[in-house]
Amino acid sequence: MQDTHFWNPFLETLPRDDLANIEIKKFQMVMAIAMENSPLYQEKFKAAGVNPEDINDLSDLSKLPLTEKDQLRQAQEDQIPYLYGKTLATDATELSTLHQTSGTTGRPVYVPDTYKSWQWRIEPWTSMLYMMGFRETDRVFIPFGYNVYVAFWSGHYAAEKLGCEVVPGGALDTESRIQKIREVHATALLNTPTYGLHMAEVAKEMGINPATDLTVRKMVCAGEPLPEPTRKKLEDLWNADVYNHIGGAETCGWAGMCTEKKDLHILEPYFLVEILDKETLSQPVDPGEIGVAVITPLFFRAFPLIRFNTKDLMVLAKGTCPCGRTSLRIQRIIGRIDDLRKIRGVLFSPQSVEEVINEKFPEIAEYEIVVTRPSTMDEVTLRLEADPTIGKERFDQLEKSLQQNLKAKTNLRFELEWVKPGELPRYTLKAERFKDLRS
Amino acid sequence: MKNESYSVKEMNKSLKRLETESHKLKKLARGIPAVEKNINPIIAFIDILNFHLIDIRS
Repeated sequence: MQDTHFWNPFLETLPRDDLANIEIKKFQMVMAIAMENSPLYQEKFKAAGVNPEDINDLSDLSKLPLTEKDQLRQAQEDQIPYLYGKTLATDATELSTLHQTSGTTGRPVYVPDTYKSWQWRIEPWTSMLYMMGFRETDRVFIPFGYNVYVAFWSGHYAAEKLGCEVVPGGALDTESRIQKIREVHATALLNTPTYGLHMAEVAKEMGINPATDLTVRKMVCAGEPLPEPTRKKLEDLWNADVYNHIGGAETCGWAGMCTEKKDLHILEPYFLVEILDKETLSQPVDPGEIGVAVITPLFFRAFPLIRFNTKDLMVLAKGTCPCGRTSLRIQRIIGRIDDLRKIRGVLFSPQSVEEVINEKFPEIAEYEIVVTRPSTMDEVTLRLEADPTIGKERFDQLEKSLQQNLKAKTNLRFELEWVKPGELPRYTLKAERFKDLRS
Repeated sequence: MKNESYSVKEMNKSLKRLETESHKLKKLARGIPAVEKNINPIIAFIDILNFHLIDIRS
């Protein structure tokens, strides 16, 4: 087969105006389906007094209300049919798969799929893996405990559809997974960033250097934020191209890096993505400005999702990508609005600490941020595990330099607390390195 | 696209035929689960193919 670097050469190189026209047509279609079949959206659209024919261009989208995660929870809780309630837009006998959100911010949202809608969820992931250079020659190992969370299921089936050979690495401990990666000569991995770092650490303890002793040359990270310094650290540790992706259980994977590894291409026209001002959530922001991502998957039928507020802060990229794709791109992911905290009057994002550590302090193996208020003032403690092989002199330097860099990045002063190697928890999904213990 | 070796028109025609035939087979197969159930994945993938080909050009 002739290799092209486009999954669909028509779609991926369409002029922006043509893409926008397709997205509006598909938006009208998904809105009409939701209006006919989804009790949740029947109520929402009726309350807003809006019909599909009122949406004729992108500027009309603001006529429609956003969908909040809490609304999905309320529409499902104690409603009929059991689990899905008013969010279900198909006959329950058509359903073939159930997944759910992780529930880290409250009651989980249950996400139903029919056979057809499940294939649709896999399709954008397939186009994304193709964009990242996955091909029939890849043997893809997935070191993840597959379960009711959607993470990596779509990646598994997408890789399979591409013709890659997929090796499920579910119920194994980390050492066994590393041995399996070596045994089968895996060429690619799908994992969380935290677990990618942890596997490299464990491999080192086993006397295996992932960069030279293993054959992994591609890695896709999902499930957690991947700041650029962490991505580069993973590339160095594994001697692999490491790709970031954005997605969620409700929306599916909706953006990913191409082989330029710079920005993340929005997977248009599978998704209509708006980046809105964070104060009013009513106006699109310009490329280069921080906004909140609002997503409409344009192919959802069983579980329509219209203008879903992800609460993720992002920046759209300016200009074009040398790869030739015309889709909009995410230049930077700032973090979740929910994760932003005011500490001593300063707005703080836990991701900024990860950026400092992984960019400049490779000697730090793991960390945890703890915020307390023992009396009237907030205190921030950074609990740290250092590489046990570093000497006393370097250790003193490290403390001073870390304090300076953290202060410069966050405008906060951190108490440093060193703990024994292995004392801090390791995570496979949704690392919880930030603990706010203020009452 | 430069150097394209495919015909969009022919692909769309072929896909339309496939769509018509698969729906026809599903109707004809009522009462034979082995046929009814196995045609569903084909119909699901035809929907995706429509998105990639016909929807884009119409």
